[in-house]
Amino acid sequence: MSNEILESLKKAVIEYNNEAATRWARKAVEEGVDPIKAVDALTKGIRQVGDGFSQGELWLPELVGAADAMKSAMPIIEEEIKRRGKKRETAGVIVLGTVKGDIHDIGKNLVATFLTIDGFNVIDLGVDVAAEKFIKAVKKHKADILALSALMTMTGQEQRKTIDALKKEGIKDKVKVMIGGGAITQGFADDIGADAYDPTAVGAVKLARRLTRK
Amino acid sequence: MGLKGYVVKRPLDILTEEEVKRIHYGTLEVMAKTGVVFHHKKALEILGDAGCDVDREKELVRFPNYLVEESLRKCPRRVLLKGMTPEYDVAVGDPYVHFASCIAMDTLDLETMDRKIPTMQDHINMAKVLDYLDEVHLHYGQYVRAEGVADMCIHPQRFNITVKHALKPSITAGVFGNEVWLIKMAQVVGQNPAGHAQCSPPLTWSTDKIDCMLHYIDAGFPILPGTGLATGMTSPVTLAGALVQQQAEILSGIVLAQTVKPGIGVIVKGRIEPADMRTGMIAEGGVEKVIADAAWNQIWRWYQVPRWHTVVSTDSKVPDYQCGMEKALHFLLSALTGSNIIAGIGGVYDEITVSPVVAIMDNELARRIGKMIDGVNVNEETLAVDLINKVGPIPGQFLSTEHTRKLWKSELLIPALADRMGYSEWVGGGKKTSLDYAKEKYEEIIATYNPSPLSEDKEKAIDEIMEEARKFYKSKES
Repeated sequence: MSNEILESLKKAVIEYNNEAATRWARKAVEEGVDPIKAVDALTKGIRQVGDGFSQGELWLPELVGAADAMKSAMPIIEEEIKRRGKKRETAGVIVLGTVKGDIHDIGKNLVATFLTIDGFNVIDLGVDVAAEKFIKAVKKHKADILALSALMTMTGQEQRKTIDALKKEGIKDKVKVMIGGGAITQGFADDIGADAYDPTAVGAVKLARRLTRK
Repeated sequence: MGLKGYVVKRPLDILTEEEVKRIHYGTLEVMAKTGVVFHHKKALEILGDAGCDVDREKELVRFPNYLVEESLRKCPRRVLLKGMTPEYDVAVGDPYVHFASCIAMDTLDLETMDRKIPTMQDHINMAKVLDYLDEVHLHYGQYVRAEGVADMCIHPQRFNITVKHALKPSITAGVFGNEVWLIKMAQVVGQNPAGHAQCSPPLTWSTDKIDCMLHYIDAGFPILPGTGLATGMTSPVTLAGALVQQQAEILSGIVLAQTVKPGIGVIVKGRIEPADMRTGMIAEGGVEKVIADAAWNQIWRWYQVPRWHTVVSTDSKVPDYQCGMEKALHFLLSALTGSNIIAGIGGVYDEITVSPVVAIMDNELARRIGKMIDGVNVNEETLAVDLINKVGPIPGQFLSTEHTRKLWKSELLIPALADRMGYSEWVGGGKKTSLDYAKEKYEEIIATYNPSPLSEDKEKAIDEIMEEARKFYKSKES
């Protein structure tokens, strides 16, 4: 039974089936399947889609579809991990969001998807996120990385404000900050004291790996 | 009086009439069934009073069909954008095609063609070049940033430069709340740039954009409701679906504007761009964008509302073959399908960089396109039947006729930047390319073109408004 459930979880992801992912996640909990193994199964599914993407066989719509299916299952499984007092291994914890005044989320969502595929635990705070909210989440989740998105030149200033707020709180050296977005440049990243910048979602994964290398 | 532009005698259709109607009816259905979100209390009130079905909790407005069509009928067929003097006014609307510049973050270094942050002097030089070029009828600003200028101040600052160094009208000016300063400046110089308010797809108006629209309406300026869809991302991946959604977004803005002030001038601005499904990046030079704009032009011709569309651009980072190809195709199809404003003169690499030298080359492109739209001039004199009868077969020839002497200059376009020499002359002349010619022209314009449109009083008034803006943003920073 357990194997069938794990296989079905993986299949739900590679078939972009949110409904099946939710259903099999519930079933896994009901049948007492090890939730860590359930996460592994989901991860295998998303990796397979990720590999297809890297090889140019699958494209963004498929990748995002698979990530959505995984996202449908994850809260149920994570709840079970918590209930059992277990912890799952991740490549690192990343708090991410689009800064205040900016409601663009597609780029940010892609970055979140790629980071999840790569094994990071991504806490997505959504759009229009104020500096205080980022700081609260960084502290709460003991984040390794804070990732800030801003599409416009105007809202780029909010990235600066968030970094300044981290400094004020005295936690700027405890978390690495990476920034991205349409109007952002390396020069701007340097200017506001961000640790890293990349113009692409795939590039963001490389940055995250570099920043979390112990 | 006024800048002339080109006349499109017979605009090209790329949709059948039936297809235009299906898009329109689809739009009406979306507006009535799902509606559009307005994050703006006053707008919700106004639209509710006008007869829309308003869900205040969700801030969602559903539009009855009759109200949409009634609002469309209230839009004037032409909008007059005022220049510094009447001879520079531009009438936006059918059957005219006018060209406008592009606005971007950075400029290109003239020697290396690398991207760099513009200085205030770059802003001035760009404004002068655009004002000088014959085929640029409208200013769309220069850059959205400058070394040493606070970001929030940049729009007032760049408009300040346009009015001090240019005679032609601006299409649009401020956004993000800083429109208040721009409106004041425009009032000082007697201009009326259209208020650009951009809907956030899908189907959502943010508070600041509606504020911006209302500020412009208050000032009695025309408005410019716009949107910007990325297919497969913020709209359906299909162009037809994107068009339906885009129309719903723009029309919802028009209903608000025509309810607040019936008869207010409207220029619509669409933007459908393909997202590359490999990277998620917008393909600025994508041919789908060109097709979408052609369809857009046709739909708004049918509505009889003045229109422009996406800024014509390219994904190329330098003025190369890709840049020329992508921009030429877009300029041409937009002109043929009846866009009233074609913006993008000077742009390279999306709306990230713009260069005065590229503007000079684009001016040449626009000239050629204008010539193509003008088409064949047919009258007794140009038909030349009597002349052909008179000259007859060989040894007859036309070079020595009065007819050729009189008419060759109006029939032939003499390119300013293209090379038409023989090979050895070209080598002897230093193997110059159009880029070299454009650079020479740039130096000439900067050295010789110095309009100073404002009286001392007006210049002072403009500076005072600028200072007010600076103080305002400074106080907000601290």
